[in-house]
Amino acid sequence: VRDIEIAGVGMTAFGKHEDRTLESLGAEAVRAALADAGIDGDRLDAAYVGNVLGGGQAGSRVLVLEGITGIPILNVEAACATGSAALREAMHAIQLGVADVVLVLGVEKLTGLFQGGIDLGRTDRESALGLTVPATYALTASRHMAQHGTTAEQLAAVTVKNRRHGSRNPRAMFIDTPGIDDVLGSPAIADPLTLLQCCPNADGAAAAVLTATGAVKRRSRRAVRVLASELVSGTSSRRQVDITRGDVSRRAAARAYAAAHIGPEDIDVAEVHDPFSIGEVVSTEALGLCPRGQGGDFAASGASALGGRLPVNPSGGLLSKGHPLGATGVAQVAELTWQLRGEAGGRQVHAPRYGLAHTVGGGVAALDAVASVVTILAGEA
Amino acid sequence: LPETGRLYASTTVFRAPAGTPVPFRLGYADFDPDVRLFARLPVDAELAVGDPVRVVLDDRDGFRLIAATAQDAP
Repeated sequence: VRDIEIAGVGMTAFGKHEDRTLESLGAEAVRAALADAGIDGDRLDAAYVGNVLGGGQAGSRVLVLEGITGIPILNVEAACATGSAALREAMHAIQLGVADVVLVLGVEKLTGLFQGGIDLGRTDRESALGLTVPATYALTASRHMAQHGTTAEQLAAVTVKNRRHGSRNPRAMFIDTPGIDDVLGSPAIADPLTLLQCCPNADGAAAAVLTATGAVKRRSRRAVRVLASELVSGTSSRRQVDITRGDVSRRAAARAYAAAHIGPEDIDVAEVHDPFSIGEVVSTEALGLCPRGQGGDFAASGASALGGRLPVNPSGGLLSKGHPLGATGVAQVAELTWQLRGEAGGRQVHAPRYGLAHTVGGGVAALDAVASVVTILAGEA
Repeated sequence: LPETGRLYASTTVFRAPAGTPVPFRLGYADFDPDVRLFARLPVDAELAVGDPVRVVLDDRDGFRLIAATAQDAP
């Protein structure tokens, strides 16, 4: 199997870009990633583009602006795991030898599509009874609290930590740093989750150039390699499964660790899907980054803060950056690339060797998830 | 299904898409041997995770979950 490097990354600021189009956001990220890789668009052999709600053909709509035409351009969608799924397909194309230099783009323009929370417009029983996306996570939080003794303060600590991290990220949507009382005192959304424990809808784009090692001259001082990127899909949620286990993420992680020949104890920095505070709690456990049932304490104790044992979401996560659905997974990989190169500025983790990115997408009532993707990157020692 | 199950998880929802009155309460309940039902619950019911619940038919929602009393026990 061929070694794969991340030759370049780029992203727009995430936030409310009311005066920008999906196409211009995507093109900005593509230009940044190509410049970081030191190549022109004509070096690309293929492009995989993640977008969820943009109405189709996002890849061609963006890339034509940059004169990138004719090559295979594939659009990928897997709910909140969309950008990660696009990256996985790019990795496979290089591994199979059908391409040497591949662009991954995630892009989303949500401003103007709807008011408030995402309305998926579904007609299943759960949606008809009012099962919103925050309510789905709130049910998991309710069970986690009863089963594992997780407290409201521990859930709020996830937001407090990630917002502190995000305050050091110039591309994050939020830069202020609420405390525990601010989080718990913000408006109730779905008990026990309050507004500040829910990520904001956002617009933005992120891109990466993946290459077979040696296919382009490396510009960055330190190489960043893709060791593994594994995707699994969800299973039925109408049986008595333990919803605090994060099974879909657990399965994706097991495959990724096996493919990378490392374990969770080797991870030095992680970008973990945190659309809601409880999401990071469940997923840090499912990824093996902390013991089962102790995801709340992992955040509240400072172990997963910058300077702690294993910093989680140094970018600020979705809770700080916002969540432009299709862009999120690629933005995680951009952050890890900067971290592994030592280019993360005021939010730099101390000398990381291995980074893990994780997303999980949902929205189909009969399933515990649509898909989860775990990607493992390695820097140079 | 057995007469009573156990509340597995629940949430009171305060923000919902336009047209859906709030607050309302949602929950999962587990019934032997391996069935999990999703339904609405009364917002003001004193029901915690693990408490016994039973199903009542409902014209609008198909069925709802309510607290099971001692008389409902098998």
